[in-house]
Amino acid sequence: MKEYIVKKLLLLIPTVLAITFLVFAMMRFIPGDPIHLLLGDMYDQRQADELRHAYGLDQPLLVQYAGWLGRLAQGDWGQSVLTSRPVFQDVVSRLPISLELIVLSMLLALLIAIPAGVISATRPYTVFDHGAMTVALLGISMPDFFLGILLFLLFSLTLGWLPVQGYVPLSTSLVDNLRHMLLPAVALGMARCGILTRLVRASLLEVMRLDYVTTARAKGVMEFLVVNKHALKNALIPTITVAGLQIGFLIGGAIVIEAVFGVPGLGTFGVQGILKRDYQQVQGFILIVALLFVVSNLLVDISYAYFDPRIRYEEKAK
Amino acid sequence: MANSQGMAVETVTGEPGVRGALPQYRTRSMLGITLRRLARSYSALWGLCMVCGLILIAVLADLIAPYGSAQIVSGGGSLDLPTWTHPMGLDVLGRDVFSRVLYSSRIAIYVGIVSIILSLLPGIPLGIVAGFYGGLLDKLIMAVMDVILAFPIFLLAIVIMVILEPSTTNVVIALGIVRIPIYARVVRSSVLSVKEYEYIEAVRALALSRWRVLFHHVLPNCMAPIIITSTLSVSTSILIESSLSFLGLGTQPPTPSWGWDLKANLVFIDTNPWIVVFPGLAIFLTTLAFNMLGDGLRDALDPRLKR
Repeated sequence: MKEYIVKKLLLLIPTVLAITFLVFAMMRFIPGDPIHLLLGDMYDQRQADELRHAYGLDQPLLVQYAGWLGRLAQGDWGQSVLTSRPVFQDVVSRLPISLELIVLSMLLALLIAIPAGVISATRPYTVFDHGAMTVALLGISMPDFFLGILLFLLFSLTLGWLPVQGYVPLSTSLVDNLRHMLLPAVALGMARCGILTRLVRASLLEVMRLDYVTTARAKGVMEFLVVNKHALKNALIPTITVAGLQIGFLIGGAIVIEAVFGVPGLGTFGVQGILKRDYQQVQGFILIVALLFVVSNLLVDISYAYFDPRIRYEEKAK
Repeated sequence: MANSQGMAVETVTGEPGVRGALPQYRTRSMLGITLRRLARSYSALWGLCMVCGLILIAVLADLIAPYGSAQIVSGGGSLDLPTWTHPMGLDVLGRDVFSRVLYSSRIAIYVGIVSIILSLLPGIPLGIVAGFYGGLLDKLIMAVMDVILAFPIFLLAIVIMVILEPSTTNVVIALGIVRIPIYARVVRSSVLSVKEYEYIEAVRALALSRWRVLFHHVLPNCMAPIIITSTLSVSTSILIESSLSFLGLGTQPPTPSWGWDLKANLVFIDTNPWIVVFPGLAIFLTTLAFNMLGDGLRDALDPRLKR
C-alpha cells in the first residue's frame, strides 16, 4: 500500500508541472500583445523594447516559465486588475467555499445513489426499480443550472423556505451555511446521482450472480448482510472509480451553479475574470481548478487501492 | 431465436439463395438485427422519435415559428405571460419566446453534430493507429490524449473559449478538440480486442494489404462503441454549449441560444418565470431524447445480449 501511494505522489510532480506549463502557454496564446495594450497610441519601438526587457518578455519562453513558476511557488500569483488584490488571496479565500459545495454535492449524490441502487438491484424490474431508473435518466438529462433554477423558483421564490442568494460562512453559523448551500448542492449532485444509481444497480446485479454470494446465503448469513456487506463491497469498486471520474464534471458544474446561486466561490471568480478580461484572475482560476482536479484524482486513486485489495497486492508482487 | 427443435439459431451472413428459406434461417444483416432490437425498447423508440422531431423543428423552424428570432412583436409588450398568441410569453425586449426556442434548436443540433464529426475525424485514425501498431507510437499517442483528458472537460472548453473569442463556431471547435481523446481511447480498445481475433490473423495471412485489413475488417467492429459514444456525446455537447452560453462564453447574441436566453431572462424571474422555464425545458428534452436513444442503442448493440 505504501509503495502504491508513494508512486502516485511521485507521479503528481510531472503532472503538476505539465499543467502549470499548459496554463502558462495558454496565457501566452491569448491574442493581443500586452506591451501594445500598455502603450496604446503612444507606441514607440524603443520604449516598447525597453518595457519588454523590463518585464522579461524578450527572454526565451522556458526562462520566462521558470521565473513565473518560481513566483507561483512563493505565492505571487499576480495582481488582479479588477480588485487590485493579489490573486492568491482571493483564490485562498474562495477555495474552501467551492470545496464545500463540491463535497456536499458528492455526499448527497452518494447518500441517495447507493441506497437507491441497492434497493433497485434487490428488487429488479419492480415498480421501484423502473421508477428509480426513470428518475436517474431524468437526472442525467437535466442541465444542472436549470435544475438549480427550478429548485430556486420553487423553494426560494414560491415557498420561501430557503434563502434566495448568497453565502454564510461555516464559522458564523452551521445551520445558515447549510441552508444556503442546500439548493446548490442538490442541483449539482443530482446528475451525478443519476449516473451513480444506475451504476450501483448494474454492478450489484452482476456481483450478486457470483458464486461467493450463493455460498454466503448457503452458510445462513442474513440476506441483509449478504447484500450490504458482502456483495456491496465489491459492487462499490467500479462505483468509486466512476465517482472519482465524476469529480471533474462536478468541478465544471460548480462553476455554473455558483453563477446561478451567487455563491462566492472559485467559479464566480473565474467567470468574472473571463468576462472582464482580467487575465491574472483567469490564470489563477484555471491553475487552482486544474490542481484541484489532479489532487482529487490522486485521492480517488489512493482510496481505490483501499477498496480493491487486488491493486495493493499487484504492487507488492511487482 | 429458436428453430422448431428449440435450438438457438443465430443468424449468419448467407448467400442470396437463402432468401427463400424459412423465417428462422433467413439472412439478417447487422443493421437489421440492431433495428429490431432497438424497436423492442419503448424508451429507445421515444428517444428516436424525439430526436427526429427535434431535427425536423431545426430544419423547418422558418416555417413553424410564428415570428422571427430577433423580431420585436408589434403591439408592444414585454415580459408578458404565456397567452394563446404567444404560447411561451415575451421576453424583456418584446420578442416571442416560442419562436426563439424553436430557432435555438438549430444551434443545438449544429453544435451537437458538428462537434462530434470534428472529434471523429482525428480521433478514429489516432485510435486505430495506436491500437493496431502498438509500441512506441501507441504510448506516444496515448500520452498526448491523457494530457488532454487530464483536464475536466468543461474547464478545457472554457480555456479554449478564453483563447478564442466566444462564438458558436469556437464552441464547436473547443468541444471537438476536447472529445478527440475519448474517441481515440474507445477506438483503440476496440482495435486491441479485435486484433486478437483469429480471423484477423487469417486475413493477414492471406496477405491482404494493411489498409484493407484496417478498413474492411477492424473498423466495422469498432462501429458499435463509436455509435453509442457519439449519441451520448451529442447530449453532453448540447449541455456544455448551453452552460457556456449561460455563462456568456458561448453563442453570442443575436444568434438565439437556449443557454443565453436562460441567463438573459433569469434576471426577470420574479416577473415572469415562464420565460426561464421554457428554454431550460427545451435543453432538458433534447438531452433526454439523445440519452434515451443512446441507451437504447447501447442495449441493442450489446453483443452479450443474445435475444
